[in-house]
Amino acid sequence: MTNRGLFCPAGDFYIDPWRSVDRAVVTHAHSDHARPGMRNYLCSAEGETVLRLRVGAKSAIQALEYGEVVEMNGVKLSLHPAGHILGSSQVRVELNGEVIVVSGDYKTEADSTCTPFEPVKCHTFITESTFGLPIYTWAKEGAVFSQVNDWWRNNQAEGFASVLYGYSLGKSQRALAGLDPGIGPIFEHETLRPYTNAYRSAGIQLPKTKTIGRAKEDFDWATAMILAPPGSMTSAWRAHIGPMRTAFMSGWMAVRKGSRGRGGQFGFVVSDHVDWPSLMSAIAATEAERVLVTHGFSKTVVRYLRETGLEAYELGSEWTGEQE
Amino acid sequence: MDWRAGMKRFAELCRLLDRAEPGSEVAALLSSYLSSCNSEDAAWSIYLLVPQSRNRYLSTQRLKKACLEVTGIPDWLYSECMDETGDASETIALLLPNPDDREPEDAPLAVWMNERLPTLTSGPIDDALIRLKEFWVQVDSDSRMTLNKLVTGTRPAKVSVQDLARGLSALCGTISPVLEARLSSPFSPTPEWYGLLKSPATLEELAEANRRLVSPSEKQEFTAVLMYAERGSSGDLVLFTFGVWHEKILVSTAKVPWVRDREVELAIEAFVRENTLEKRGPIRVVPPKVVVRLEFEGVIIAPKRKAGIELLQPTVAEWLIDADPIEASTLQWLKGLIAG
Repeated sequence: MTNRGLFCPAGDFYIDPWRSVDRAVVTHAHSDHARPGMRNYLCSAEGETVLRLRVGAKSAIQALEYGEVVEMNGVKLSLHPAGHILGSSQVRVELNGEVIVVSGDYKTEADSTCTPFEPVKCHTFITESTFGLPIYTWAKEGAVFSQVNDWWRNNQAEGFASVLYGYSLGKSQRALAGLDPGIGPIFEHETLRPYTNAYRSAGIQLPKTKTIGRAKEDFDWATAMILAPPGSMTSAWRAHIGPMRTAFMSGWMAVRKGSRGRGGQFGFVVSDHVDWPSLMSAIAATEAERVLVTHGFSKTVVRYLRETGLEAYELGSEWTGEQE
Repeated sequence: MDWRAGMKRFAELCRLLDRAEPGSEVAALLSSYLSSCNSEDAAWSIYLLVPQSRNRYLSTQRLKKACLEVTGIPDWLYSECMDETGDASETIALLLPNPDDREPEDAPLAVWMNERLPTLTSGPIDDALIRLKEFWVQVDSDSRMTLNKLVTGTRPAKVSVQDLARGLSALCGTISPVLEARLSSPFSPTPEWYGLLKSPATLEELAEANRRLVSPSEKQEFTAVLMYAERGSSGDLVLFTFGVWHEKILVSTAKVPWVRDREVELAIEAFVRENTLEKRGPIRVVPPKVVVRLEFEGVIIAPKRKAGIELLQPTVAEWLIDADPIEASTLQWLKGLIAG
C-alpha cells in the first residue's frame, strides 16, 4: 500500500491508484476506483466503454478479456469477473508461483447486467468489506425487484410518480433490468443516459427509456418510473413532475438508522457488494492462506477471520507493504 | 392497502408508521389498518402503540442470549452490530437466519398477546427461550423486529395520541378530542373496550372537549437545554433530561419521556448518538447545545429533586435550532410560577 494506491513493485503497476501513475490497473469505473490522469490504463474488455466515459475518451486503455494473461516485468496479470458492475474485475497477480488476488468491489449473486463473479484460487486474497457485518444479509434480487415493481404499481394507482434514486453507473442499470416495463413508461435522468447506452452497446438487455426532459408538456407523470441519481430531483423538476414518491436503492437501507441517515424516508435494499454470508463463502472459495481486508468493516472482518483460524490483516493500517 | 392477518400485518403497519409523516399520513394509515381489523386485534394494536408502560415478557439480555445461541455469533460481533443499528430488537431480527421458504404460521395479534407471549413468563427460563426461538421461526423475517419489541415491552412504533385519535375519528365519526381523552385514560385491550372507544361522544365528553378547545392556554412552556439522554434496555433512548439555568450552571429540571413530533425525536436521538461526551451506565451525557421549548401542565414543589420542583407532563414541543443555550429559562422563573 502506498500513498498513490495499491502498488505491485515487481510488475511496476498500481491497482485503482488515486494519484497520477504510469500504469494503472482499474478494477471498475466507479469514480473512487477509476480516476482520470493516468498515463496508461488496463481494464477488462467488458469495462472499456464505461471506463472511457469516466477517464476520457482518448485515454490510453489496454483492454483484456477475462482470464487473458499479460506479463509485466515477469509478473503474470489477469482479470476475472467481480459481478459488481459492467466490466468490474478482480485482479490476479502471479510471481514465481505465488498468487495474489485483489477483489476490487464485488458481489457473488449473479445479475443480468454484468458477467457473474468467479472465485479465483490464490495464496493471498485482498477483499473489500463494505458490508462486513452479519446484519447485512441480502434477500434474493428477484424478491427485491418484485417489491420495487409493487411500489411502482401502488404509486401509480394513488396518482404519484415514482422516483428511484441510485448511482448513475451500475445501480441504475441493474434497477432498469429489474423493472417491469409493462407497468408504465420508464424515464431516466440525463446523467444516466451515457452509462445506460454503454450497457446497451455491451449487449445488456434493458427496457426502453426516455430522458425526463423529453416528455411532452402535458405528460401524466403519475404513470411513470424515473431513475435518477440521489439529489438530482431539484425543486424545478419537482414542480415539473408534480406529486412524486421517492425511494433509495442501497445496501444501507437494510438498517433503519442507515435509511434515515441518507435522508430518504424509504428505500430498497439493493447492493452491488457482497453481504456477510457471501463475503465468508467468497473468502473460503479462494482457499487463500492469507486474507487482507480493506474498504469498510476491515477490523471486524479481520478479527472474525482470525477467530476462525485464518491469517488476516487490515490492509493499509496493519499491512502497509512498500512505502514510496 | 392489503392488510394480511395477525402479527405480520401489525408489523407491516409499524414499518409503514416508522417512515410516514406524522399527521394526516399516519392517521390515514391507522384508519386503513383498523378498519379491516377485528375488534380484538384493533384493541391490542392501539394498546401497543399508545405511549404507556407495557408488559415485558423477557429482557433484552435474554433475547440476545437466545440470538447468540441460534446464530453462533460471538458476543463482540453482536456488539459491533448493535453499534451499527442502535436498536436491539432490530439487531437480533437482522442476525437471525431467514426461515426457508415455508409459510409462516401467523396468528391474530390477540392470540399472540393473550396466549403466546404470556407463556414466556411461566416455567424455567430455558423453556421460555426454547419457546422464543419457536416464535422466531413462526413469524416471517420482516415481522421479527416487531415481535422482539413486543416481547421486550418496547414501543413497536412511535405514534402520537393525536394521530391515533384522528385515525379512529375517520373510522367511527366520534370527534378526535373526545377520542384523545378516552385514549389518555388507562384501559385493557379488550373488544368491549374497543367498542366503547368508538361509541358516540356523551354530552359530558363534548362539554369537556369543548372546554379544552376554548382554553388551550392551560399548557405552560419554557425553554430548556438537553443535558442527558437515557437508553432503555432495548437500546432506544427512552428519557431525556433537560436543565435550566441557576447561578450560571444548568440544573436538571425535567425528565421527558415524550417528544411530540417524531421527526424532532429522531433528530435529537441522532444528536445524542453523535455527540455523547460520556456514558454513565444507561445515561448519555451530551454537550449543552440542544435548546427546546418544553410544554408542561403544571409545576409542584418537590424537595427531593435537585431543582426543588417537579413539572407535570412535560413534552418537547419544538427544537429551537437557532437558539443559544444561554437563552434558556432560569430556575427562578419556573419557581415563580408556583407562587403565582
